[in-house]
Amino acid sequence: MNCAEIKSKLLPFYYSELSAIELEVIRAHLALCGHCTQEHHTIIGVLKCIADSLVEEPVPASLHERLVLKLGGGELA
Amino acid sequence: MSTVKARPDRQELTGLSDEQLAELVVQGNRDAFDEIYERHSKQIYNFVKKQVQSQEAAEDITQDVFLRLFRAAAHFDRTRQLSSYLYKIAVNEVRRYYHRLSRQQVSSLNEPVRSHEDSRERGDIVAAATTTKSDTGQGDLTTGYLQGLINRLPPEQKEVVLLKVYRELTFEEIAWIVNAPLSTVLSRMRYAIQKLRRWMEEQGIEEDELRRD
Repeated sequence: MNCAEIKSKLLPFYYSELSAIELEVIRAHLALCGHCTQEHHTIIGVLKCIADSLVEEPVPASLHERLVLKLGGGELA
Repeated sequence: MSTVKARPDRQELTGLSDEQLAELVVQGNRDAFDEIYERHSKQIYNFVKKQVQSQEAAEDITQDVFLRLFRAAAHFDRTRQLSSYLYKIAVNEVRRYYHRLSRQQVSSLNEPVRSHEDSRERGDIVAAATTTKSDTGQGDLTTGYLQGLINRLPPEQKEVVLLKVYRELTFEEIAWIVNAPLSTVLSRMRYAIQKLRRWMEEQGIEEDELRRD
């Protein structure tokens, strides 16, 4: 694979969503190519920044109450 | 699918899989539905809220997601995870919301292009309308700042980023959920990463801060 092809597969590579052969080919390429390695590390950096920014809010209690009303009390129809 | 007791008690429900619970929902078991809601409502609500911003809209959409799941439970494809169905419904409901929003903004979108911002695609304009300027203020890696950058992404890129980074679904699952080819999903993710990277760099985030082992 050339660098353009490698770069197009860096995302599934990072998530290990490629075949074993493709993973190995990319790993081997990254060991030798500084440009692709930089790109790989930058992608990881951006992804980790996004993941670290995750803030989960609690679900408003009223939401369940509204669902109960919509569905009607007791057993579902 | 393994046989489930006809009327498991509430505690027994917690040990059942989502798919077993869905089977009970089809049979009219209200507790099973409540268990599904308890397991997934927070994730669905947050997935929706990160896209629509408005709490009221997020609540309405989340409610619709679970109502639709209840109505479609009988037709649930057992080869798919229940959570994937929930996200598929959520994606469609959010898109419906954006569609309604864009129709409401038709008059502003029909006005002549005056600034560089108006040259963006409609999806960008709709997405921008749901963000606030304060979200994109400072050039540091704070939660609000990053969330603001994600808000700037076009809807089709934002949904892929959220499903991948926040929910850690596979690209293949995401392709099914958003009803797009795998290659398209990968492209959207790639473009989203490129945009986010560029915006971070414009805000003075150094390449070294982004590059991690």
